[in-house]
Amino acid sequence: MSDVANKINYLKKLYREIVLGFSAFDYAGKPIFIKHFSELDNGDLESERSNCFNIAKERGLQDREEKMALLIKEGYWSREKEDEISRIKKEVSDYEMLLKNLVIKRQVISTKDKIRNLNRKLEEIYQEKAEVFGLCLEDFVEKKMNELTIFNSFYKNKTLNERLFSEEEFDRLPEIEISKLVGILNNFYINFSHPEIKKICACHFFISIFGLCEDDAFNFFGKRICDLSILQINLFSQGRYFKSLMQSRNEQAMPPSDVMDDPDKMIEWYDQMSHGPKAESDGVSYFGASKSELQEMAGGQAIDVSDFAKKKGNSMTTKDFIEMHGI
Amino acid sequence: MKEKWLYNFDVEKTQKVKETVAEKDADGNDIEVSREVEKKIPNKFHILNPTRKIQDDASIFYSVKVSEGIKLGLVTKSYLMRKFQQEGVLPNAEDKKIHAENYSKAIKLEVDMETIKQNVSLSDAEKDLQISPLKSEYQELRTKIFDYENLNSSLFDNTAEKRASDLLNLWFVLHLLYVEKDGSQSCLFGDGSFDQKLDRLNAIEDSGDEFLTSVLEKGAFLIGRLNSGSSKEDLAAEIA
Repeated sequence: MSDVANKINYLKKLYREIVLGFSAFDYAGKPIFIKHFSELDNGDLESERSNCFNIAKERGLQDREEKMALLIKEGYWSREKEDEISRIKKEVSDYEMLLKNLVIKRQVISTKDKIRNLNRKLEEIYQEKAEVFGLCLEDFVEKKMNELTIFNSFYKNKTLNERLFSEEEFDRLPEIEISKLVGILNNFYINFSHPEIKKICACHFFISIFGLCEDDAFNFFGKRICDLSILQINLFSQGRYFKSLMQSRNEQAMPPSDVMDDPDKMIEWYDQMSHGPKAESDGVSYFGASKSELQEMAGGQAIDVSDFAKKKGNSMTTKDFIEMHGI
Repeated sequence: MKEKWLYNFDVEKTQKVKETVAEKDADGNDIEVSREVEKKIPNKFHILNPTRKIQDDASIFYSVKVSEGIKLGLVTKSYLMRKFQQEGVLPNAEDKKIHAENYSKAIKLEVDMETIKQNVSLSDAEKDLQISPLKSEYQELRTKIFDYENLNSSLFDNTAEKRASDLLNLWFVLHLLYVEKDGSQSCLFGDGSFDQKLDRLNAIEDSGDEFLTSVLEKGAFLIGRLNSGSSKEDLAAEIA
């Protein structure tokens, strides 16, 4: 079977799991089932968050702000360190923004280096902060939420009515078993990451089915919106977005069949459609870029100014410059 | 799933029990005579294998106690660590290397001694002869390891973390030590908060009850050792 066919089969499997609302995995030689959470399930988790928060608070566990106030008062931490964290984070964000607009290799490398160094410094300060602060309320609540997510995710059966562990069993589960379950859950989240959802929506089989639902989620899943899993909502939204992009093109601008058959190529096509075609007069130049970089940026269509000047008899007027830039 | 109990142990209690013995009366007839006698009866105790909930409670307790220590004016371990690093008080790389080597050698000697003990082709006298030099080498290493660890931990004796850690050991004793009565087990210090349990511990200590005092000593020793990573087998050997 070709790579593309394998890819599509795999995406069909993911699609099936999204529609069914669960995924099967192997655990200790037996099948177990991961429930795809809905927003209602997430809501339940959030209400548990406030319970955990209140319990730990009642027992005197300090939140980060309180701990920080104590540590600053006693001289173990300082506002300056906090300011340094904010400053470095801002610098990283600025450089990341800059990086998106850079095209010259040398500049890209140097900016990436700066970001790497700043992140390293940030990591050192965070490490020091974690040692000084110890366990805070937010850390505890986060840990409990992770455990609860694990507890609520796994089921013994496809009908998702019997949890894999009772509360007591889960409470006595050794850390090594928890780690195994975390590993399974991580794989699950990787399988259903946003790029994978996009790929499903870019598949021919999905486009055909989606075309029949008249943009109605109930027609598609047979469920009320509030009962849909988050993955179902993501799939539906992405499908509708791609469909609207497709509809915005006229017949002649439809993707060729080799693109239609490959979800990765289709994604590229959709991305190009969403960014819109480049205007023909979009002539630019980049100071400091090498000839090869300019050729690469222009897709081999870059014009050499000296060649252009030769054509103009080695004498260029303002009009000639405007013409060269395609304006 | 984790076993419910981390460790089980008995403590003997001198109790008055009714004992019935077969005797003959003055006429030579078989009779049964019951009388109260004092006997040492083993009482069962258990150390609870902490569940995730208990571990969470313990980590909250520890963190609260660290903050409490800081408020009391104790320095933090991380502060001292940085200070000692700057002043060169902490062991250098060479010291650490020697310590790690001593540790590995001690483990190897333990294995070697065990192998000799298990060797069925050797007589007891031969085993003793072979084990004896290994044993003295082992004890020498243990002393070095203990001195190194003691010196390093003593550097951080007066920190908020050390105080919290000592209180945490007490917290574990108050929460993990269980007594068995009529086949069912319950916490030796009953239910309630840390302070309520602590009051019950103090009451036991003040009562001068030898039996309960020895239960406390044994339980606290075992919990301390289990928390520091000793295995059940190590403890069984030490207690024996």
